[in-house]
Amino acid sequence: MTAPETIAERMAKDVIEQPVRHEVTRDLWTDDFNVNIGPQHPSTHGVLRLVVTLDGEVVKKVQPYCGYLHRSIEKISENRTLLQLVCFSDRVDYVAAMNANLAVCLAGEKIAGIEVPERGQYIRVIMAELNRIASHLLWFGDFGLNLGAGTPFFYAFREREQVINLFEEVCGNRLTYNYIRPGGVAFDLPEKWVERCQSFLDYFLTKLPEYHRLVTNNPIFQVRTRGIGVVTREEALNWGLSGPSLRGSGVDFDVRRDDPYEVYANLKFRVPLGTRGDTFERYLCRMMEMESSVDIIRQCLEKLPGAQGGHAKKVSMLARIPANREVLVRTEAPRGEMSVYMCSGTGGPKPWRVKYRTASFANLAALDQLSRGYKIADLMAIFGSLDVVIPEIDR
Amino acid sequence: MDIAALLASEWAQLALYAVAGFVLLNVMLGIVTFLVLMERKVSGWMQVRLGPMEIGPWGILVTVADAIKLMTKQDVVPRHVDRFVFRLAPALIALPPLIAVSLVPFGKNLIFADTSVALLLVLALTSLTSMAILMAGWGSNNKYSLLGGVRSAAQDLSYEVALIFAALGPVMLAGSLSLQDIVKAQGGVWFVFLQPLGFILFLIAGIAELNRTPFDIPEAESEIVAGYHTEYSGMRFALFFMAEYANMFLVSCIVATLFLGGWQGPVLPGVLWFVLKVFAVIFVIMWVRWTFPRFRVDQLMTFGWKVLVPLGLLNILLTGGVMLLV
Amino acid sequence: MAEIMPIIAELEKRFAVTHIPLGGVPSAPPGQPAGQPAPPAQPAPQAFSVTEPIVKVDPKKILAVCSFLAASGFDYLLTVTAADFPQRIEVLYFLCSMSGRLRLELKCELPRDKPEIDSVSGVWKAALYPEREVYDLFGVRFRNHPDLRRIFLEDEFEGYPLRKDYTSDFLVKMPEVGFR
Repeated sequence: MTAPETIAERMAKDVIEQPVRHEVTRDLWTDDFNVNIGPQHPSTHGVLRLVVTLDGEVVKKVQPYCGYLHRSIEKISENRTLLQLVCFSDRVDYVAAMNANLAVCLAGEKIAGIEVPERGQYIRVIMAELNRIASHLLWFGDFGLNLGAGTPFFYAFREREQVINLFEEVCGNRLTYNYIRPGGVAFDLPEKWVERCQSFLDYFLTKLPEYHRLVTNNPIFQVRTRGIGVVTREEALNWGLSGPSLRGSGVDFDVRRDDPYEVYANLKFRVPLGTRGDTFERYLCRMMEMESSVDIIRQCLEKLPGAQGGHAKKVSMLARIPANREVLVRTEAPRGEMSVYMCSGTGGPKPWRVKYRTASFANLAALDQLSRGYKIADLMAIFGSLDVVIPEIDR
Repeated sequence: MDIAALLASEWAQLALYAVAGFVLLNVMLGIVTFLVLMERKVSGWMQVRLGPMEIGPWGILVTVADAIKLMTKQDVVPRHVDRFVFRLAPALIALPPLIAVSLVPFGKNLIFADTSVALLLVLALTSLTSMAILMAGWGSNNKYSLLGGVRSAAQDLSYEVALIFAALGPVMLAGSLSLQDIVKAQGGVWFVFLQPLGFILFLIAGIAELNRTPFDIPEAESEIVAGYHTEYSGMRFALFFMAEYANMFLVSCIVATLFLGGWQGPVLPGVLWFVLKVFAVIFVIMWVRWTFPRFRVDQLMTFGWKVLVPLGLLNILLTGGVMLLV
Repeated sequence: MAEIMPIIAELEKRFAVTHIPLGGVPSAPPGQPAGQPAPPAQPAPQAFSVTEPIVKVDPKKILAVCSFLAASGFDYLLTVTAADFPQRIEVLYFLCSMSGRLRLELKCELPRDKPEIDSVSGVWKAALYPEREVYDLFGVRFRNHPDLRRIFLEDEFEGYPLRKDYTSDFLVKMPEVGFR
């Protein structure tokens, strides 16, 4: 089937197929109908349009229409130096901006051969893991809202507020940090930040059991998420799912452990693994990842080298990238695997092409198959469990 | 002019009833106003925040602001709706709780209409609500509203059965359908201790009748925008809103009457006890709303038919058996 | 790294691919020891990757190569993307194997005036959306793709923005970066 030639043919192809009629008896029938969810939803996932074909309550097909948040970040990046790229990466995933910053800086450093001092590396890992906690908290609150539970959202944000305050002390921003720069980090840690971080971690660990009591062990929650949206191991790999969505299906892969970057090779941490590949397993993987992030941060705070190492290597604003080089850097963002491909073409201060491979883009592609045959209420549960954010899809 | 004869005449009686009815109506509206505020404050406190604080001291006047806002909105009737049904639905949904409250005994002598079939009347009036929701869903000529209305009809029907079975326990114990008689029969022991299963069943089925979380499928926000009241705005929406809280008050009154002893209680006057009990039940209902996620439709129906109805039957059997033996 | 060499050797044997090893420096052709001045007609230096071996594949053989690789343990397709160069559009496939932790990059060079290539979405469903994105932004047609249409831009959009020669009134000229 070749792609259609004219605009009319293209639009005709895009038309939602005619509703299928199911005959019960000769005079009694039901029709499939299409329901439009979005682009503005009360489910606060951002601007995404889903056209769902329903047979009563059963989902027959889900067609996502993305592109409402397309800001052509990749095209813009072709005309920015390595330092300027960082603030665009914030916007690629504004919920986990530190992780996005880290991915793009790693790509820039690898391609230009810049080394980061050890203290800088440890600080970066601490920030990335704190942001993982913050991102998972936001996801947790949203997931509750999707299912109809209004309260976990506020509890999650109470904790998230503390993480954001820590970030504000470090770099002045609450959402788009622009803190991790090529060569290290922008500023060193302020006084007593380490102590405040420790006390946050201690406090946070006392709150996690509360979430499990409130949500995880709730029988209604269990009945809404167990056995829903099952994806087998082979399917998960074939669809390119990553992160907790992949680990929930039993694939034991975590970029931090298996393809380590920064100082992850020196750290010991548990990677939660599911078995059944349903929504509940994905949910649990993320909840347990928060605990394991706390562990990582604690180890980093212990091993943090003294200030004499420097928090960053001085990198010129117009640092040159050598010609004819490519790099693909893989990182584990909270949603899954975020990889940045950078290629330098003829060299110079600006890259020739920057590509962000984001987990949400791949996870969204699987939504259709994952939710066929389930009810429309399950669609929201599945969509929530894939932890999709729209800026990552559209870039 | 014979004053006594005038007062005893039919006109005076009618006028008295009219005044009393007017007072009751206003009290109900006042209570509904207070409940809206209570919901927002209670939900706020449970969610680690303060709730409305700006309007009036401690946010007391927020419902007044809400009411003014809704009353001054443009009355939008979409073009392709079924006009008669669309307009009738909000009126029909607001009336039953206001009528049914007149049957509830607030105190020893404080009851508007003491009929011998009060409970039956109340349950019949609550069924009208489901009809009104179906009318709203159909009349709006909108896919989402239809989904919401149909879901609600199915849900209300299922839980109505469980509700009635649970309510039969106190009726058997008191030997009468009159609410005043049921309260008087709880002079010794409140029925909640004699009918623990019945109490829980009635509370759950009552929450389901109210279309509140965890049973708020008909208005599931995150799925189908706003369900059966998607197309309503302004005063019509205000009527739906009001009806929900009036219904909540009514169901709590019935729970308090059937199981918690109504106005019975030592020391304090009956009305005060009644108010305390009703608001305790309302608090529990609000607490449940903000704690649980919502059921999926088929799980809700399974729960209603396969769990609550058999338990209701079991409750009746047990009650009858114990009554025979004791 | 060692585990991947047999697979690359097999690929070279079966499909006549070119291998650019990780870190680059392609071996000098025989009879031309390293260190000697290069002959005048040397082609432009190849781009190499700092993180994984690149295998250049003939676009006509991409489906066969991908099926072979999927069967040899590369069960995960990271993404499909493209880069626009003056004479060609390069379509890149990033593969990895979950069990062996192997990584590989496939590169296909397509002519700019008629960029067409077979779709690999039959092998890895992970290619469905990225190929649509490449079609949307670069104009590369993927044959046998089940649903090839624009993904981010509206269907009536004219032009392929990520190409280097794309101009429009919306494109703002960015001032050159420098010190003032």
